[in-house]
Order: sequence, then C-alpha cells, then structure tokens
Amino acid sequence: MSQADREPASESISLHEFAGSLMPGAGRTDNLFKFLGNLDEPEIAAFFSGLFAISRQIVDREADAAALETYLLEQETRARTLGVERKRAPAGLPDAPLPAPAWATLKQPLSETRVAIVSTGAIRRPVDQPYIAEGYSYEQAVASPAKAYDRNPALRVIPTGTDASELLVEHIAYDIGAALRDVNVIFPIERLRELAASGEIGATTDNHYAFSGLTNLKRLTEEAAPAWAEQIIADGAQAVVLVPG
Amino acid sequence: MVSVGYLARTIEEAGIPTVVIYPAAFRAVAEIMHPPRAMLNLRLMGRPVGRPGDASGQRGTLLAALRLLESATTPGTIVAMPT
Repeated sequence: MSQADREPASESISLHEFAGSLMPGAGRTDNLFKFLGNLDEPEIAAFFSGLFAISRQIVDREADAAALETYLLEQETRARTLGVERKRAPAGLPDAPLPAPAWATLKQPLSETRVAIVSTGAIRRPVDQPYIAEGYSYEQAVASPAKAYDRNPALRVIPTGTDASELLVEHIAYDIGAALRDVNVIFPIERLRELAASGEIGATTDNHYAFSGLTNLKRLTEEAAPAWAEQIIADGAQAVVLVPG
Repeated sequence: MVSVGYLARTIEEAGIPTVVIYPAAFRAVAEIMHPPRAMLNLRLMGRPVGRPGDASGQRGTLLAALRLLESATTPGTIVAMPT
C-alpha cells in the first residue's frame, strides 16, 4: 500500500465550507465557533484576522485572556445577530417575533418561593434515558445527528439532592467543554441550593428538569411542553428559571 | 435557544412565572421568541450561567435572574446582566 492510499486526500475547501463544517452534523465538533457558519467569506476572514491580532497581543503579554473573551463575545453576538437576519440560524426560529407572552406573577416574595430549574442542555443522570442513540459515541452523534441523536422531546427529572458531579451532558449543538467541568454553567443546581440555604429563595423544588433543546419542535410545542408545564407545577414549582443549551 | 423560549411561554401560560438566562449573543433570538422575562449574560454559548468553577459569579447571575421575577412588570422584559 502506498503512502497515498493510507492517508486521506487533502482537499482544499473554501472558508465558507470550513465555517459550514462547524455546524452540527457537518463533520467537525468545534461547537464554540460554529457561529462562523452565519458569516460570509469576507466576514470569516475578518474574524480570523482579528483573532490573529489578539493572539499576537497575548503572546507578547500586551493582552490577557479577558481580551480574547471580549473579542469572542463581540464576534459571537455579531454572528448570531446576522444569523437571525439572514435566517440561517438557529433552526426553527420563527420568521417574526412571537406575540406578547402570557404573564404570571409571584404569589409570595422570592424569599418564600419554591424554584425549579429547567435546562435544555441535554443534562441527565446516569440512570436516565440517554440522548445519544445506543451504540454511538458523542463524536459520532455530533457528526451524524439524524441517526445517532434522539430528537423526541423527553423530560429527564433530576432530584434536587443529586450530586452535580454525577450529571452527564450530551447536547451536540453547543460547546459542552465548560459544562463537563462544571455542570452549573448550564444547570445551576448547586447554586440554587445555596440560594435556598441563604434564604434568597424559599426553597428548591424536590425535582429539576432537563431535555435537549435540539428536538422536534412540533412535538415539543404541541404535546410535550404543555404536559411538562403541568408536571412541573404539580411537582410544586412556584417559579422556574430556564437555561438554554 | 428556540425550545427554551417556547417552554418558558408555555409554563407561564400554565400559571407560574419564568425567567430565561440567555447568552448575550442571543438577544436577537430572545426578541423573536419573546419569553415573559429574559436576562442576557455576557458569556459564550454553553456557559450562560457563568464560568466553570466560578461559584460566586454563577450564584450572582442566577440571583439576578430570579430577582427579575419580582422586579419585571412588562411581559417580554429583556435585561442585561450587570457586569
């Protein structure tokens, strides 16, 4: 076998193709930078130019990591806004703003309120139903979500006493690196328990909840969400904080 | 980002108040989903509550969001987390 047979062919791709390949199901798993998929080629090139400039400054100790974070936040905000304007992302976003929402108010002070968390970040306990189809790895699910990721909306119930370090994170469309180190960044169960202990809220509910926001929106809105709302209230929640994945 | 908006609206319809913590980059998405209350936190997608290991910062974000349950008076309130 020749060297050429063993190694995959190196194909040249355009910047636009590269950015598109950062989207879920498109081959790469760099979810932190998938917002580049919302940009056109000159904009992607400008992003890299800026990134190189910040990198040089950090290497020379003229800037620190905070400067890089600020740059990425600015760039993500711009790209996400353009994604909405160009109707590229996020998938399923309505074309026009939804009508004014319903409005409920607390019936007691926050310091006496039982609060539940709902995360769409695909959090679960080891005993819960996986989000990734059996036999597939996380990387395979990112690359092939159609066959390896469960899009049926299903709520995972997570008791408030659950050890946060046991929780698993299986969302394939956002960068889960931070959540794998500290699940509170997307599912702040320990922080809510602390707010209950310090009296800022009345209590946590016995249960919190998670599912994957990357789900069948028709089934979510028509069947699952109304049923879950009833379940969450029946479980004792008097207010809900929601955190998107 | 879309699912969370729908669910917040549905829970509020069912009778209890909600607040969503969005990464700041998703203001345009939040404005379209129009949840009852949203707080934009200046963190990248995937870490909307704060940096990993920063319990104090995460707690501050969570509490600021929860305080909107008392302070917001208009359906569709979107505020930025003070930095």
